[in-house]
Amino acid sequence: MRFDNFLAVSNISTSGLSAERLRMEVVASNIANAHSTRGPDGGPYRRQDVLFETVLGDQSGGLSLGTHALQGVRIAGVQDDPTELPRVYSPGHPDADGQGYVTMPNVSLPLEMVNLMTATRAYEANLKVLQAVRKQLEQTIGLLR
Amino acid sequence: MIDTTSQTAILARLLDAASLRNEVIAHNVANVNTPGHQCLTVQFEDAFAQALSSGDSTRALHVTPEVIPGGGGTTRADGNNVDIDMEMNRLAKNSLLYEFCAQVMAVQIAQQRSAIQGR
Amino acid sequence: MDIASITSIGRALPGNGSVARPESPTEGFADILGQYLGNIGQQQLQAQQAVQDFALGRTDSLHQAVLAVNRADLAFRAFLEIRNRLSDAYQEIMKMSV
Repeated sequence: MRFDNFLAVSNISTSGLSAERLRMEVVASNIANAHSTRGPDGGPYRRQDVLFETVLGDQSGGLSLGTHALQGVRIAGVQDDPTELPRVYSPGHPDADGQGYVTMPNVSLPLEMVNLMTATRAYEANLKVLQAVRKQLEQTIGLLR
Repeated sequence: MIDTTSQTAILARLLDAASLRNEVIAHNVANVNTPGHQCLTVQFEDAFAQALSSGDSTRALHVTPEVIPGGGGTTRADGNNVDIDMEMNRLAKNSLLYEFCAQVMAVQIAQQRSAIQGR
Repeated sequence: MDIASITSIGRALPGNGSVARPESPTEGFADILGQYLGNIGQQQLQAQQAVQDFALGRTDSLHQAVLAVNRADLAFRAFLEIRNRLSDAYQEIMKMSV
């Protein structure tokens, strides 16, 4: 729709905001489930990662590279981290196997915190871009006074 | 000279659409946590632009803004598909558009007023 | 005394006493004004188009539209000033006693 497509710069920054917000949700899920031995498929929780992807549009955009218009970013998918799940010796645990080992989620809290900070900073940066653009446009309208 | 009345009317219609859009955005944001709520959007500029490009402004002035379902992001677990970032983006763009149209109208009205005053 | 008609003197003057009618002194000025009005009309059209282009999402450049509106407005106000001065001048002339 015309209204949604106009002022493309606004849409580009917003796509960044949405993507970082989703990344924060995934980080939150990982942190919350750092000790879940009963995950969605029955086994221990596997940590998840987001996949960022540049959005390429048709030539109608103002910002174009080659034959495509650059239209921001999107999350192409959320996928499981395939690294091996650690086994921890904890014989009293209800989910311990025969040898007393429990398979725990492969969530590393320091790593998740770093991801959270990165996502937060990126979100703020996108917000700053939006605010700067809005200020410029409002100044331009001010020329009519 | 120029038919300023129709130009002012065109801007007035754009302002109508922008006002309606503000309400729709407010509604969406208020319902961002309502289970099952579908995002709403305003449909206007496409039909309006098409009618205007035919050159006849009176036909264009018959196009009215309408509220339709749409403009949402991915649907979450509670069935709600309102994306708060997208709504904030629309709000910012809409405010800018409203301010622009209002300012242009102010310039036109000032011109008309000066022309009437005369000496 | 024979009062001869004055026309005989006129015959002695260059051009045989006939004087060409001067061109109306306001004609040239009316042309200029007409051109000016046409120019303003043109700028108003451009401003209208630029405003619609931005508001309907055909372009993202707000500054083009704002500049076009300003240009048209300035041209219009300059013309208003000319009109007002003309009006004042006319009234001045009308006040003159002949």
